[in-house]
Amino acid sequence: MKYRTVLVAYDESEASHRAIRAAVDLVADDGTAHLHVISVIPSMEENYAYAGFGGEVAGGNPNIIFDTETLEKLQDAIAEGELKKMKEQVSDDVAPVRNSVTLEIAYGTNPATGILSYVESNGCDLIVIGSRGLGVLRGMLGSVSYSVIRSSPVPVLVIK
Amino acid sequence: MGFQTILAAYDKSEVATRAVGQALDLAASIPGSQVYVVLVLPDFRAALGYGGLGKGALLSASAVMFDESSIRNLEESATRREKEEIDSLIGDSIRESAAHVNVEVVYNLKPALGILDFAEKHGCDLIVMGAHGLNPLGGLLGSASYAVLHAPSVPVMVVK
Repeated sequence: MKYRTVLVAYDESEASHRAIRAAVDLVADDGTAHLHVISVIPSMEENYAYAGFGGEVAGGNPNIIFDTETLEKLQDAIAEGELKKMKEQVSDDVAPVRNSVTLEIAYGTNPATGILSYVESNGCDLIVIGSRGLGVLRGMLGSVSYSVIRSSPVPVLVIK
Repeated sequence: MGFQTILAAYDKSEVATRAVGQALDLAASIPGSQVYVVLVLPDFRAALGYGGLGKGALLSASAVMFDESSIRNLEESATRREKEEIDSLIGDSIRESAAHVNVEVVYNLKPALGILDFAEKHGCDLIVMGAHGLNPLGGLLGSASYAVLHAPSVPVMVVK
């Protein structure tokens, strides 16, 4: 197959399950292609506007003050929980390619930036996403999908 | 498994040429699959204001009158001419590809509707298209791509 490293973004929606299954179909017959399934969680440092100045808060929510260590622990704990949950929820979908799939948590200020920075750092050559995330009308293009399509350097396969 | 009937939307732009390339490569890796390269031209009937009422009276204020058979002749000669041009532009890559390819010219006032209508009639299970067509606005998603993405059911691969 043409694509070597395929990324699917998972957000627990039905469309993202369909996206995983479509991506699995694409890589299933190819011994060398690899599938990455990611779930994006907020990157805390940016969300809390933590600037890394000795634990001071540079902006954002003034009620929350974290030092780097606390922040990292918190983020790791959340990531661990999300990864475990994702593994359970997508294990059936990825079963056909279980030897060539990586399940991972990515970070971003929003899902689209999380997806795009993961694509960049992992050299993915195709993105597969659902047209809509959680809880919205099927068939309409969601804002995350729209941002990813607009900014992606690689082809984006949108599954409805 | 995977996609069996792939529609590659083509409007002679560079990004559409890349979209066709992606479709050919993808189809070449899927046994039994085929590609329709589809160019949408303006519908002569609608463009000329022909309403199909009676013997072909023109509804617009134009001085020209067309009946159904002269419109058909117009379409046939336009189709022939367009297919020759498509062949000179991307015929080589189509012939070099291992994919099974048909080039089709369809008529519709809206490119997106022409694409979706063709996809429905031919049971296409994937549409591949450029992020924008011949009239790109600084990397924004083109209106035809946007409309096709908003339509329900068929997966769409957007190529940059």
